This record gives sequence, C-alpha cells and structure tokens, in this order.
Amino acid sequence: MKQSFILGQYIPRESFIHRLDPRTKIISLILFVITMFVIDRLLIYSLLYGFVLGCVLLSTIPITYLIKGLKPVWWLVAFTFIFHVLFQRDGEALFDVFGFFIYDQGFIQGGEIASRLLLMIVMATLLTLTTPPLAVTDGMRWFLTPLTRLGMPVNELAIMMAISLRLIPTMTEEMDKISKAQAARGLDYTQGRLRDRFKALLPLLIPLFISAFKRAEALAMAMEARGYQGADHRTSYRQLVFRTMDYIVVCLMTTVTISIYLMIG
Amino acid sequence: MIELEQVSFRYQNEASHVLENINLTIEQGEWVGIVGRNGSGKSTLAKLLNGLCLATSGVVRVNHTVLTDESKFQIRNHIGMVFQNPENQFVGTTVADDVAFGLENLAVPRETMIKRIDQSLEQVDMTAYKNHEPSRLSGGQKQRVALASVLAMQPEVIVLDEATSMLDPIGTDQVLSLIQELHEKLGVTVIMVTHDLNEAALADRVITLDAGTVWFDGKPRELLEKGDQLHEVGLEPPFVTKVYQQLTRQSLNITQEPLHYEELVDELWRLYLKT
Repeated sequence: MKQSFILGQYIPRESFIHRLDPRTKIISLILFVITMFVIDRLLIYSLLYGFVLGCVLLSTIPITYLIKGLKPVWWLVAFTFIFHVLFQRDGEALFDVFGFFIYDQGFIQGGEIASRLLLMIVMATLLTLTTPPLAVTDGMRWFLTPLTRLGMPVNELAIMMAISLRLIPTMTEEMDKISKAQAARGLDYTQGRLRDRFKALLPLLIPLFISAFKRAEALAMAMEARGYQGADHRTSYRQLVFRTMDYIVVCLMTTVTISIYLMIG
Repeated sequence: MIELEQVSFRYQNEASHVLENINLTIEQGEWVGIVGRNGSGKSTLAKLLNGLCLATSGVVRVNHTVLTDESKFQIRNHIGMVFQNPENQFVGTTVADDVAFGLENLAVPRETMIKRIDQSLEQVDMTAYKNHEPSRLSGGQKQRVALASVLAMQPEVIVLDEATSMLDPIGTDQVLSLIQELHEKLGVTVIMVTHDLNEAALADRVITLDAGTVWFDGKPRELLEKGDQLHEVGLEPPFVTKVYQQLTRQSLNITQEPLHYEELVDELWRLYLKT
C-alpha cells in the first residue's frame, strides 16, 4: 500500500470525531463548504482555519501525518496562489517584476481561492480518515434514498461500492502476483523511456482485467446462490445510529452557518 | 428431497450435451459424493440443483416443487452452496457482513440476523474472527466462513462444489470434519462434488459421472472395488485401494475392501496374525 497519498484511507481511532455518525460528518462537510463559498473576508477565513485545526486536533490524527500525506495538494495550492498573484489585474499595482505588475487584489484573491481549496481538501480527507469506507457508503446511501423514487438504483450503487471496497485488497494482491510473474519472464517497467514503460504495463493490465472479469462472474454466481435478487426488499445488518452528540453537532453547524450568512448579508 | 428426471443440459452454443438423461433421487439426510474427471459435468449437475443453470430438458424437483425460472429463488432458500475459490465468494467486507449477506437477501429482521450470525459463526468455530477482513484469513478459514454464511440461512441441503480443492491439507481436513459434524448434528443433506476419491469415500453414496452420464451410483466401497476400471473414467484409485488390489493379485486375501487407512491397517494386522 502506498503511504504517500492519504485521501480515502481510514485510520481507526477512538476519538470524538470517529464516533460521530457518518451522516453528521457529511452534513458538516457540506455546511462547511457552503460557508466557505459565502464568505469573502480574511478575518472569517482565519476563523475557518481555526475550525479546521480544531477538528484535526479532535480527531487525534497527527498533523504531521496529514501534512505529509497531502503533499501533492500543497503543490496544487501553491500553484493556485502564485497563478493568481501573477495574473490578477485588479486593484492597486504594488510593484513590478521583470515587467509584470503585481496587484494587491492578486494576493487577496489568490489567498482566498488557495484557502478554499486547501481547507476543503483537508476536511474531506478528515472525513475519510475518521470514517470506515463502508460507513461512508452507508451515509451516502441514506442521503440518496429519496432518489430511489425517481428510479435511481441507490441500493444497487451502495452494494457495488461495498463490493469494490471489499475487492481492493484482493486486486492489489493479484496485481502484485502478476507483476512478479511477469518480472520472472523478464518484464521491466521501471526503466527505459516513458513510451516503453507504458508499453511494458500492458502485460500487467491485460491479465489483471481478465482475472477481474472471471472473479466478477464467480462472485455474481456466489451472490445469486445466496439468494440475491436485486438490492431492493433486503434488510440491512449494518445500522447507522444517530446519537445525541450527532444532533448537537448538526444543530451547532447549522446555526453557525446561518449566522455567518446573516452577518455577511 | 431432490429428484432429477431425464435431465439434460447443454450450454447455448455448444452442440454436445454436458449432461444427458440424468435420473437421480437424493433423499433427505443423505451424504452424496459426486465424482468425475474435469468436464464430466459434475459441477454443472451441482448448479442444476439450485437453478444457477436451468435444465435444457427434463425436470428437476426440490421438495416436490419443480425448479423453474420463477421458483428458483424460493428453492435457493433450501439449498446452500459453497464454491471452489474462497476468494470469489466472499461478498462482505468483514466476516460478520459476509454471513449477513444471505440473511439480508432473505429480508430477515435485524435482531434475528444478529442471533443467527453469532450462532452460525459458533458452529464453524470462527466467532473470534467476526470483525476480521477476508484478506486476513487463510483459505480454510474463508471456506469455514462460507459454510457459516450458508448455515445462517438454515438450508436443508448443502452443496459443496469442490470446496476443498484450493485448500492446503490442514484447511481441507478442517472443512471436511466440519461437514461431517454438521451432517451428523443437524442432519443436513450434503452433496459434495469432488475429484478426490478419498473425499468421496466419506459419503454414504457416490455418484460417478462420465461424459455427462451416470457411470456409477452406489456405496463408496462398491465403487472402489471396480479397481482399474476407475482409470477409464479418469479417476485415480486411492492409495488404500491400490494396496488392497496388489495384495489380492498376490492372492493374499483380505476379507473386505478397506475404505481408508484405519481399515487398511486393521486388515493388514489381521493378515499378519493369520500367517
């Protein structure tokens, strides 16, 4: 498993945030994102930074882990900021660099947009770091349930998600096996020109696809043998429990969002 | 319990029949082994029993209900099936979720589900692994979970389609002794598809398929007595049988053909004491 990028991974802990219902976390994330797009004052941004920092601390996930794990994101954020600073043409000109005029609005807007990107990604990562993938799926399913009336196969989608999650380790293992088997036959995809390396990937991907199809067929048969007839009319073993804490958090988040909105409006 | 009447089956585009004019009756509580070489139709026969394949012609009846496209869902509640590859039948993200899958399909209420999951994991001795992920289990453990998943649905018949062929000897022994225990305690009908005659010898009755027809149907001992004829249908006589045949050929007479090592050892001692 690659440790370099952590979006989508889960770290089991016993923190306050871990114990919240996935639905609470999803609602909070949505409210947070709405707030972020409503406000345009730097002061409130500092509050948001404080809020995110507070959430990270509450989750007991080490900040260094988060900083290291989101390395690619830092580049993106930095790039967004620099791009705005260089090419924004509003406000007062501050100084010029090799004929490029730098404006103060560039700093402000660059800071805003980069902050939005950064905070949003950190919060989304926090959601997946503190919630088992299956619980995220269950939470999403709960929100999408009304759409079943419009003919959207929400339950099927949830089962597909759950099975994909279940098969990730299996497929990783399979990939490992195939790459060893091909290496034993002299395949090398770590050296050479980019084009050659891509070509060398084919002997890995084709067997992987074939085995995935075979697996899918066998799994479908096993599911059918155990009485699967489509995702409707099933009962559910997993259950989401909305506790007092969840009500408090959702109420708090809603109140804060609305009051910020009113303050600005 | 299960009746097959003049059942034939072929896959759509293939000209030849995989199974041809099979007539069989399997009684409640029986343990039946189905053996045959690769391509003899034994796995297809297993899939015909719960409607994973539907007979091209002829009638399959389970509990006096004719198996059709409509009735197959109802019949699957009575017939549980364990497949060959432990990896490809694990649906849930954890052991408990996997056992729950079948119960969810039956729309069992959650409280009953929790009880049945605990009970069936207990029966296969996997309670300690309830919240484990499949990637952390051995092949034998995964097959035991597969059995638990089937047991939780409380079927009358358990079909094992080469369920031990991908396991190591320890895993195989565990699964086989578990099946023996379940068969005795719960009285479930066991139908075991295998290519291993040692395994088939555990059954009360063995059906041997060759080229889609029944070549033999009877007691395991009678099958093993066929000796070299077994090679004709692509089966390898077990070591015990080979020893017995060698001894008879040398006119050292053993009273009855041994089925497994213990019986062979007994017979050898008897022989030794006589001479």
